[in-house]
Amino acid sequence: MLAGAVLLSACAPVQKTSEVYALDTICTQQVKGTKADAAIAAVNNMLSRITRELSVNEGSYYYDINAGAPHPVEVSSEAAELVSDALRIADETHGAFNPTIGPVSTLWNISEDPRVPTADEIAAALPLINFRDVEVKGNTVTLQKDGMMLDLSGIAKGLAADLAIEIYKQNGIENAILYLGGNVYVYGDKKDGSDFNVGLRDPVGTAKDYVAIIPVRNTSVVTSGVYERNFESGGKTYHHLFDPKTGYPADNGLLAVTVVCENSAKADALSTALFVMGLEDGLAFAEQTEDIEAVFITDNREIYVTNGLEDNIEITNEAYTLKS
Amino acid sequence: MSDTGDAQTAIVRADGEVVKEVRLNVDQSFWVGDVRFEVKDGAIAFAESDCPGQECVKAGWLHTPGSSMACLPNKVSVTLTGESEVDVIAE
Repeated sequence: MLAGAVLLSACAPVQKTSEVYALDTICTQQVKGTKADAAIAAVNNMLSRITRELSVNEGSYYYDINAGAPHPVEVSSEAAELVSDALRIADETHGAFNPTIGPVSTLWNISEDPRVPTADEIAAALPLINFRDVEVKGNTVTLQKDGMMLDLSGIAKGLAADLAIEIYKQNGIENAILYLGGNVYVYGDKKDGSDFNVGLRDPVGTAKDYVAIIPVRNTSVVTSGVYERNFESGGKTYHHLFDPKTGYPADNGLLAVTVVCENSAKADALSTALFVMGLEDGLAFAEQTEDIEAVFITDNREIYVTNGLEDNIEITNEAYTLKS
Repeated sequence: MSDTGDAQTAIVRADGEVVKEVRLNVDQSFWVGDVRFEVKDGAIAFAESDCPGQECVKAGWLHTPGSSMACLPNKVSVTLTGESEVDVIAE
């Protein structure tokens, strides 16, 4: 009996948590399943690998592609696929999500040593921002103009989340909450069969409060907000969501855009794209896109949502108004 | 967003490992590596850090259960536990 009891407990699903630093951010997992430990370890290995392969430093595919411009560069099939995915979303969003934003994001250098570039610098960089000048053939990626640079930071965390979910599936995980530097994936449902409650961060203020809750399962929830990666200069705050048309941070009255989508790479890229499009165009785009829902928060504290969320969002901060 | 006053716990991790669990009903100050935390009135904050961006310090007081904040350069994080209406916060 005793042995049986021990065996039983060894097979019971366990809840495990993990916190590591990868993809230049904090990555946490809360995983429930009999193989939770194995799944967590495999995901953490994957995160290290993606971090290495997409690093801006020498030795990564990403570095090779950028250093190789305007010549073809052979990369892994996974790296080529990521670039293809990024280009497809760039095409679908008419360049609002733009993986060739590199020359502009490098000028601003928000993560390392931020500064406001001169108008001349921006003007010189803009002609290099064109996703149609990227060619992917098999595992070969070519940036066709000298000086072009990919910046995949707007989709890399999404890709990693999608790979993590595959690992959870392979390990028979019951449910998991994956958090990659603010990007969320909720896999499965809760013990009682209910949805996970995902809070949407209050884009105003400094404390990490939320303004709304959406109940979801088996989906990614990704927000692009002005409060992430920003800096102040001359009394003005500059954030990292650049408008590829102007080379400056998109300044359109939006504070944050959240995208809900089963595919996290898509959620990641579209959260940036919808932000750059602005409220009107972004909301229209989101309504037309079948497999996503979206939440827009404006600087006058109004919250706009796609039709599918109208009855499925709870505003928890009374300073904000849900508009329709 | 204030709660009923029930004391919460904050879990502090360094490089992913739990190094401290603190009840937030006792005001205190402590160091984890090059980061100083302060606990006051049921909330916790990164009071000082040697990191360049000071993002952690700028985050201010954390008091919402389920919320977390990390100092990325120092790999030090704090997560607030306790009854929460949310399972995770997307940001």
